[in-house]
Amino acid sequence: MQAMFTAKSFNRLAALAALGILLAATVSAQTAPRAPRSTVIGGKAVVMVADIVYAFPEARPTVLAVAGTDQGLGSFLQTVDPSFPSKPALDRSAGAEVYAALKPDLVILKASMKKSLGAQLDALGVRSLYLNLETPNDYYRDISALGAAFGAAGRADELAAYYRGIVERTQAPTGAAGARKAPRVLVVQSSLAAREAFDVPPKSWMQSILVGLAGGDPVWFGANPGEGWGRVGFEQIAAWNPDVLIVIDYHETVDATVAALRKDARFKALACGKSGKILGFPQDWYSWDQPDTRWGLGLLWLAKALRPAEFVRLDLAAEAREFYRLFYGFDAASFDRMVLPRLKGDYALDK
Amino acid sequence: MKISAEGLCFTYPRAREPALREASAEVPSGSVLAILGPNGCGKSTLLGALIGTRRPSAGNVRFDGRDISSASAGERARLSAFLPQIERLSFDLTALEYSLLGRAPQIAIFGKPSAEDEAAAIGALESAGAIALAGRRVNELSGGELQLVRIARCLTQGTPAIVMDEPTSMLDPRHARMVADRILALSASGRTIIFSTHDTALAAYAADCAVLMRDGRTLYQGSAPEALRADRLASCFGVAFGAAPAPSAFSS
Amino acid sequence: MLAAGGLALSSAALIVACLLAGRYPSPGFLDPRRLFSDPTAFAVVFSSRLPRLAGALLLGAMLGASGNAFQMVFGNPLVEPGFLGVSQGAALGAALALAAGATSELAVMGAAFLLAILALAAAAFLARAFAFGGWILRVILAGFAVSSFMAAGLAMVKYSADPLRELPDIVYWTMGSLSGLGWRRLAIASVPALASLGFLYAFRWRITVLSADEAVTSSLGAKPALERAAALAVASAGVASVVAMAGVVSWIGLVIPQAARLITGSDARRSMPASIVLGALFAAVCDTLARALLPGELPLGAVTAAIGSIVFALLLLRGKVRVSR
Repeated sequence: MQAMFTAKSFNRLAALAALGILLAATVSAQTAPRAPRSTVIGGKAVVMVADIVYAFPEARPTVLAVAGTDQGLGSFLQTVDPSFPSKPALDRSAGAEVYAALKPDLVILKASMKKSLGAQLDALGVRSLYLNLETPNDYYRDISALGAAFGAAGRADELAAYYRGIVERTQAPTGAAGARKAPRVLVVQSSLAAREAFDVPPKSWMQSILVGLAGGDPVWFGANPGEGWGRVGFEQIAAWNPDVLIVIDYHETVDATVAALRKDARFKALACGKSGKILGFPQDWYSWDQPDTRWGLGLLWLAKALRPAEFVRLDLAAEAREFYRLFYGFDAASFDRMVLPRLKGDYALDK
Repeated sequence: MKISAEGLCFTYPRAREPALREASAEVPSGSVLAILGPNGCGKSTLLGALIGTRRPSAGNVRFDGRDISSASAGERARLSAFLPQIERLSFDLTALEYSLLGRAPQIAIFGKPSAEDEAAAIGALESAGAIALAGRRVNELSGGELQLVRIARCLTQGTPAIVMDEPTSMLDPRHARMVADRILALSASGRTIIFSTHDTALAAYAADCAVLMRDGRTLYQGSAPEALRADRLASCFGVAFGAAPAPSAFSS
Repeated sequence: MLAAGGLALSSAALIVACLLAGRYPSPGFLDPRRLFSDPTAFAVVFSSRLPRLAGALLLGAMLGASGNAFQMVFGNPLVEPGFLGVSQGAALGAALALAAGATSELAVMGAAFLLAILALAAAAFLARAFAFGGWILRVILAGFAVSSFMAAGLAMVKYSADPLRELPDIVYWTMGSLSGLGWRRLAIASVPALASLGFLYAFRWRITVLSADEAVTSSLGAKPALERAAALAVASAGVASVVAMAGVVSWIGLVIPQAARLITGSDARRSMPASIVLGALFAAVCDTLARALLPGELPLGAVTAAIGSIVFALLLLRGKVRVSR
């Protein structure tokens, strides 16, 4: 027994162990992806992906191209990165070869693109990262994935903490206070464009989740069993007679649409019309209802709209200022110059 | 109504050969003319020229001396009625409704048939021997019954002349005889009838005069007995003609 | 006379029933007394349901009349009034307007109507350019070519449309819907549609004449090509205006005229008014179902297709659809 632990054999063991550790280190160093130096953000629904990627300062300088820039997408991103307009245009429905031709270290896409592009990108040896970005939980997961990809775990924690903080702040109180009835809420997408139409979102979408988180009782779930916007007529809206009617308008005419509805005799007769609770969902470059980085602002606004007594001091303009500072590094002057004039909808909520 | 055609020439577009080469035909008022000839000899084309739907490049057609090439479609529709050899019947009109179509030249373009028009249609069905079929749907009639109804439509038009393209070619002997008797009756009432056929027995039975055609030319024109001689028929049809060995429904 | 009175009475009853059926205040029939006590009920019936009902009646009447005209002129019970490219052209026109971000109803309607007429003209031009075949074959082939081209264009627009803002509107439009129909849109569409209906109604006996063999109609002193073209053009213009109003609603133009001819016989003196009335009532019932059956709006085209195809199958089974003698 004693023979095993002679100094010579011990040295040998130590050398072997050191070699083993060195080998392991080299092997793991080769398989662990290093932070990408060039990324491409692509596919359809690219807005949401781009906005969260650009929240990572580490990622901004690596971006080679973003899809859909020829369709006006760039107007927000160039405020964050002034060199944005000089980047090459990339079509939203570009095929895998186009991505490969740009030779990126990483392609970041919405998870829905995996079916169409995934196999082809793999075949061409292009590394890809898919983000879901549909629900708050998706955001926590995807932020963490981006943090890992860009070696920015600290930043990821910071962003996730921001959202968690908002969810906590807006949580409806339980117990005696929570027993009071939640306001009956209807969210419709409408627009002055084309024809009178009211579309409701499905249960699984961010809009529906936010209403639940903000303490509202969504009345429309039975009307849309599908996976996309479902159309309802005025008659059904009258039958629901919600306490609060929230109007989303992606055509940037939300103020005009809400004004028209408030003047409409039919809507004036409903509970929400009588109590003045027909509200336009706020938007700056993008409407705050979508699963975009601005969903935190959307949730804050909904909480104040649905439970105004609890959120008297909540100032959405100030919250927006904080959001843009934290996520995109806007100073006060930049915010006042670029964001404030763009704010539409009933973001102020003081009547 | 005396009808005469002379020197008619006509070539279909994109055809190599003319369909009519100086063809002619003549029928006195109130008589029956049979036009005979093999397939492709130009019978249908000649009929078309007579009613005005085919404009000949040379020659003229006269109704009671008047050149009809200057007449409008509406005017021609008041002079002659036409019974095509085959007719597309897409819808199940009743025999009366179908017969009523013959009043179209008399009815304004946004008009509807009046009681007078309906009476004319009923009268036409009676003259055609088809009054019993008035309420039946045309696509449920037998070949012979349908032919009588089609003749009724021509009669409703109230024209002095009726032109028929092979009126008995698809009919069985009984119905062929019925139609032939109709033709005779109509002629007796003063109408001028022209029909094309390759049934020589029909021509012998019903026609007063006949025209033999071949390759777009008129081989012979004259009274029916004269035209229907075996030698003339042979040169027209290209086959020997003898006395018929079998009984014919037209021989009584 | 008695039959006519009974028909008028039952039609009126059906229309009133449609007006009272819906989802307010709950799924089912609205108590008429509520109209006096509840302003929302009044608004629902007179501002929301009444224009829709009027629109449905116009739509159904127009499609029924045009369908009958088309089927009689072509001598074929399988043609639909939109098949000369009018439906697909209108759909493409509306889609282009929506994709371009059109913000007014008039713009979308105008674009739809314009492209529908363009499609019709293209089909007419193509039909004349064909060198072979009878006129029926030529027109059917030309209509098919133009419709396919328009459909391809529509597919391209859908593919490149913004899935958030434009695509749902475009898709809803191509499935047909009277949702949100206001008096203004109805009034605009009514002008050409009522003119077309008036023409087809006055022209109805002549259409029976046109349904006969071409040799026969020529011998009757008609100018078949000209009169046919007039009837088809006017019918198509009427269809274009209702498609511009309500989107592409299928099956009414195909099935209603056949059902009408079953009841009254083929003569258009009776089958045309029957097609008009039957079409109007059918569309009214379908639209009521579209808005009342489920909380969400069903596209009208889906309801007419579902019911229309069942009716068509029944007609086929009973041997009532004859294609040729």
